[in-house]
Amino acid sequence: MTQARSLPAISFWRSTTFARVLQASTLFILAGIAALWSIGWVVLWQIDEEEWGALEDLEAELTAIVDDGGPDALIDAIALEDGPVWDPDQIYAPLEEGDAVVALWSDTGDILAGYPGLDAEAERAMVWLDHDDIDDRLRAYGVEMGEDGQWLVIARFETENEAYILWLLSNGTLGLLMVGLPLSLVIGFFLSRSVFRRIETISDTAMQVATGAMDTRAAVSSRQDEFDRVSNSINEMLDKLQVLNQNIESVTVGVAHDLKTPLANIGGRLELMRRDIQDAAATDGHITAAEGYLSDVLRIFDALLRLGEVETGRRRAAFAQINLSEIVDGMAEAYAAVFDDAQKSLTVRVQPDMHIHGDRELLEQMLSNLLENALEHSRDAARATISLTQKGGAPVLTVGDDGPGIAPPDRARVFDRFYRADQSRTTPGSGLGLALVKAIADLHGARVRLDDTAPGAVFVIEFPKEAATLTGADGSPNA
Amino acid sequence: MKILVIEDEAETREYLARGLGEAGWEVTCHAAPQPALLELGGRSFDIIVLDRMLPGMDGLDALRLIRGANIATPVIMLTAMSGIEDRVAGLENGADDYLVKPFALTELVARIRSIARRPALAEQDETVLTLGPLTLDRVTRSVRRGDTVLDLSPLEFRLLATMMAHRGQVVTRTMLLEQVWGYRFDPKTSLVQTHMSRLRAKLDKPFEHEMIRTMRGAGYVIDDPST
Repeated sequence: MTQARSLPAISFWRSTTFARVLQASTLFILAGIAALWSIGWVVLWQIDEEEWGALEDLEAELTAIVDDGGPDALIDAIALEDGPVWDPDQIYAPLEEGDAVVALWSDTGDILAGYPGLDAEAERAMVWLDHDDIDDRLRAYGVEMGEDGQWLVIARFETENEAYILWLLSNGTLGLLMVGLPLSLVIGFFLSRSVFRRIETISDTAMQVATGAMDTRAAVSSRQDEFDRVSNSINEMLDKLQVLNQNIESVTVGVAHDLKTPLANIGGRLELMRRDIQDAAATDGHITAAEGYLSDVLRIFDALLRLGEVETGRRRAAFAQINLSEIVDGMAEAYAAVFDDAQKSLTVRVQPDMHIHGDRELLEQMLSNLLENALEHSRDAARATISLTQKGGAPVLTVGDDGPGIAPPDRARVFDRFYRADQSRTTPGSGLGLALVKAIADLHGARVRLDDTAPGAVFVIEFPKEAATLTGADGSPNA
Repeated sequence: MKILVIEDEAETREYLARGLGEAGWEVTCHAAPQPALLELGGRSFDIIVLDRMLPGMDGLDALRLIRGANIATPVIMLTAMSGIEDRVAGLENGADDYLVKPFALTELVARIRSIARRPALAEQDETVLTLGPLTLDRVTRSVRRGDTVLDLSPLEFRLLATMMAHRGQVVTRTMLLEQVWGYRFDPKTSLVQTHMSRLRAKLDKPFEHEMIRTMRGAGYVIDDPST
């Protein structure tokens, strides 16, 4: 079988799965970057606070020295072994001790003590030392000391952690972008390709069915995943469609066959009329016979139209509360005489006042079809029964006879349209009566079945139990 | 009696014109609703036979126009649709009867007669119906023919009461199904014939003259045998 491929091939890149994977991973990467940076900023802010705090501690310490011993005490405190002013080479020693650099300037701008390459305003700021070898940044600020207008600048080098965290943040961001995005492209490609392939097999199946290979079914794996569920429901749908299709075929054949016979008979009678046209009595006989055949044809159409009307479910809108017992009684009363005339009997057993929600006219039609079925297809002197009882609060209608019954191979098909156990189609009836019974029962939510245990053909129609809410059972919340 | 027929299909229109004409009535035919409605404005008719599907207008709309113009002439609707909803819609919009195509001419004639005579039969609702020697009492549910009390089943009683309400007219099988049983479908079996023959066995068999006669292909008529 050739592959039916009239759908244009869709590239993976345009597939929805692929687009979704890309969207999702982009979102994840952006969220990751945002999280990284916000955590980084919090840590950096904490370090910043701590460092400025350490500088303030140093300021307090130095201020205390000035308060105790005057400006000279401060110069002494700052001074190293070779004097108060630090050499660029000497700066490493105090740095070993506490990371801090200080400078004390006179009001005239001369260096009094500390490192001359350090200066800063009162504002907290990041500064660089004037030093050939050190190019790290420092936190620094200046403060006025004593009454002589001396200017003390204190500073601390940026911690290694800060630089490291900044490095981590920028490289992490870069890494996420460089690795995450290509990775998501690759994942998206493979994911969408596998989804695509599964869907492709399903759509191939549909295309093959569309081109007429009605037997084709979608493959189902043992995984029972969502694709298998789709395949399964498509297969179920196809099964149902195939059955419907076969039904239509058999209905078409049935209509054609059942119409052909009476129409051919009418044609025959017309021919006879022409031949016997001088014989008024014979012609009249042909006309009567032709009218009979015509009414057979019309009856088939009526039944088909009625069946169609019932199956659309439109009639449900006109459902009303009706007394089923009365309907059954009336029908039994009308038909008892007909059974009697046919030398058969009809036994009636009806539980009074059983109500259902339904369509009176259709239910009468259903009963009439069932009774006529019993009348036509039962043995001579048969005893037919019609009963309305209740089982668990729901009405159960039984219409049947005591023989000869329906052969097991025919049982399953008696409700099919145009199906007749008598394949020669010589018995009267359209083969639609029981199909209509089933359609009407279905419309009322009733289950119709053949009683297997009975010797004759016994149809059992189990109506649904009326919802308790309909009778107002939960109308009073105040118990 | 003057009958207005509004029917677009030529074959049916001719069939109706001829059939109703032969029944002794004066028939005016129209293929479209508009000229028919115009004619209705100037002339009065006794019965209107109205097709449900007309060119350019639903028969139901034509019916509404007729009733809207305060024309109370009885209307019998003809339809190719056998859906029950359609019939209900027709009756709700003021049709007096509703006939599904194809129908026998005798059926239409019987229904026209039945509707035309309806207002004159005020006794249709009376408790005691009499026809020659026959007396039917709806309250005591007793039937006498002359001095003999007839023992009828409830169905036979209803059947006879319906026949007596339409005395002298042909009552078709379908009319009896509708009026006695309330059935709107056509049973395959001879339901009406079975009960009619039982009724006649009690009503006519013991007596010299038959009151109920079979009109072949049409229905039944009940008459006073002495006239």
